[in-house]
Amino acid sequence: MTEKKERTTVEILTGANIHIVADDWRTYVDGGDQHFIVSQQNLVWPHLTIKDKDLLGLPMTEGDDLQLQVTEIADPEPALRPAKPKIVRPPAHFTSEVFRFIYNKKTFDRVFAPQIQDLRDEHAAALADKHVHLARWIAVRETARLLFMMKAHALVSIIKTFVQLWKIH
Amino acid sequence: MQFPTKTEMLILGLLAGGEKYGLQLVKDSGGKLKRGTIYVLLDRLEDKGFITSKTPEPGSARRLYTIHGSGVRALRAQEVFEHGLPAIGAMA
Repeated sequence: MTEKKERTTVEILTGANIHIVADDWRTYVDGGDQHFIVSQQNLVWPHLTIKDKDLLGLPMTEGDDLQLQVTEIADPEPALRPAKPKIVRPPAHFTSEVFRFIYNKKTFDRVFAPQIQDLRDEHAAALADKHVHLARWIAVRETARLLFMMKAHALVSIIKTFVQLWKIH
Repeated sequence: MQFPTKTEMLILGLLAGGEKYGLQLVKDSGGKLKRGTIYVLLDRLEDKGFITSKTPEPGSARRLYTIHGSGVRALRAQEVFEHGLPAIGAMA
């Protein structure tokens, strides 16, 4: 008698008339004409867990359709369910796009991009520490600082341009 | 060549200790440099040729700043102006 491990996909119709497609891991003991299931686990991740202890030791002939007897469908605690991934834009995304449009590449790369990167690093660090409110505050504060920086940079650029024009004439 | 301003001198002094990031300079200055103006000042210093910058990781926006030869000369000149000629020997 040899032991075989097999993974298949099975379709299960539960008592509540719910149709489930599940990954099915089984360990067989091959005994000639008959196979004996020595262990079995059905997992429908992440919402349902099927406990089918009754199937252990159930004799079955090769080629037979397996009639699964689902004894219990357990719904895990909502807190244990993995949260649905939510994709959001990084802080200062819109501001960054506006700056990229207004300024030339050199100015954006040297002046604004490092500041935006600092903002995002700080924001990510706060989120990693589960300080959601602090992260939001950092996003607001640093975006305001960026706007101030834009104002200061624009003022200096205007003065510089006037000085250069005055020098030419 | 334009001589650096007092704040720019402070940045050059901090960079004389080794290459640094912008935020690192703000922290090391003990409140003398502001986060809102540091990158404008660094950009100006780079335009004047006193410092150089590079992105250490490809694809990252963070820049690492290094003092250039003319920046070191400007620092030495400042030292001489403040402390006299023996300062050159002390710096070398």
